[in-house]
Amino acid sequence: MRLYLLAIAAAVPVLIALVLVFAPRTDPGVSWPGVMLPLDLRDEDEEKLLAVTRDFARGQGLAYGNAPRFSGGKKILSASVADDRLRSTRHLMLITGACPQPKPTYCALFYQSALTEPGSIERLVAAYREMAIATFDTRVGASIVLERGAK
Amino acid sequence: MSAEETAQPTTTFVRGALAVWVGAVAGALAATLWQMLPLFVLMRSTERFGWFGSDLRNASMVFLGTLVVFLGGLVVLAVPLWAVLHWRKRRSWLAALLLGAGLAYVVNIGLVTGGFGLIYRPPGYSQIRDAGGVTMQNGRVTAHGWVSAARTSITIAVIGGIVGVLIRTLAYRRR
Repeated sequence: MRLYLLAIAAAVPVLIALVLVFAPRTDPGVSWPGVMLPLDLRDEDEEKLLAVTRDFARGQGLAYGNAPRFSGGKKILSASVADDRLRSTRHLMLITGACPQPKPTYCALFYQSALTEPGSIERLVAAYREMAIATFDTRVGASIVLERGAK
Repeated sequence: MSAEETAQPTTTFVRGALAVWVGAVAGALAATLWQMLPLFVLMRSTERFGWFGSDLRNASMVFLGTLVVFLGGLVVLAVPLWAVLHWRKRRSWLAALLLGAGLAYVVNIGLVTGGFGLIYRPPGYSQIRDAGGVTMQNGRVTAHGWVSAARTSITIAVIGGIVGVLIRTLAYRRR
C-alpha cells in the first residue's frame, strides 16, 4: 500500500514538469537575450544561421567554431567564439531547445554565462532576429549567451 | 525448498514495476537537482535579468529527459541484469548498489561521448567544449573529453547506486 502511495506521489513531479514544459507561454518566450527560432531547423536554415554567427565572429575579429548537438530528441545548435587576444575564451551558444543538454558541463557553461562587450550581443541578436523573421516560423525560444570563460 | 532459499527476499511483478517507477523518478529528480540547483543559485547571484520562468521550464525539460533516460536504462539494462542476479540469488543491497552505480557510470560516459565516440560524431569542422576545454574536436573525443566524461559521470554513478538500493529496498520490502 505504501509503495502504491509512493508511486502516485512520484507521479506528481512528472505531472508538474509536463505542465511547465507544455503550458502556453505567457511571455514572448525569451526572458534573456535571445531570438525566436523554430525547434526543428532545416539543414539550409541551419547553414544560414551558422553563417550569420560566423560573419558576426569575423566582424568582431574572433575565431569561430560550431557544433550541432542533439539532446533529448531536440536539436541544439551551439556556436563558440574564442578570442585569444584577451587570453580568454568566450562561448557564444545558440540553442534551439530550452536547455543545452542534460549534461552538467554544458549546463554549467550555459548558466555561468555572462554578457560581455555591451552592444555586441544586441547586434548579433538583431542579425538573428532579422534573419528569423525572414526565414523562420518563430515558435520556440532560442537563447544566446556570450560566456566569458576563466583562463 | 532450503532454508537459504526461503530467507531470500521476493517480490511481485507489480511491486517490482512500481519500485522501478519510483526509482526512476527519484533518480531523475536527483540528477536534475544536481545539475540545476547550484546553477540557479549561481545565476541568482551573478545575473541581472529575470530567469525564474525559463529556469523552471529548463529544469522541467531536463527532468523529463533524464526521467526518460533513467526509465529506459532501468527497463532495458538494469531490470534484465537484476533478473539474472535475482535468479542467481544475489539480492543484497550491495549487489543493487554496485549494479546501479556501474550501469549509470558506463551509460553516462556513453551518452556524454556520443556512444563512446562511435555513434554520434559531429562534423569534421566542429568543436565541442566544456568549461575545462575541448571535449570533441573534428569528430573525435579528445583526451580531455574522456577525462571529463569519466569525472562528471561519478556523480551520476552515485545517484545510480542510490537508485539501485532504493528500488531493491522497495521491491523486496515485506508488507
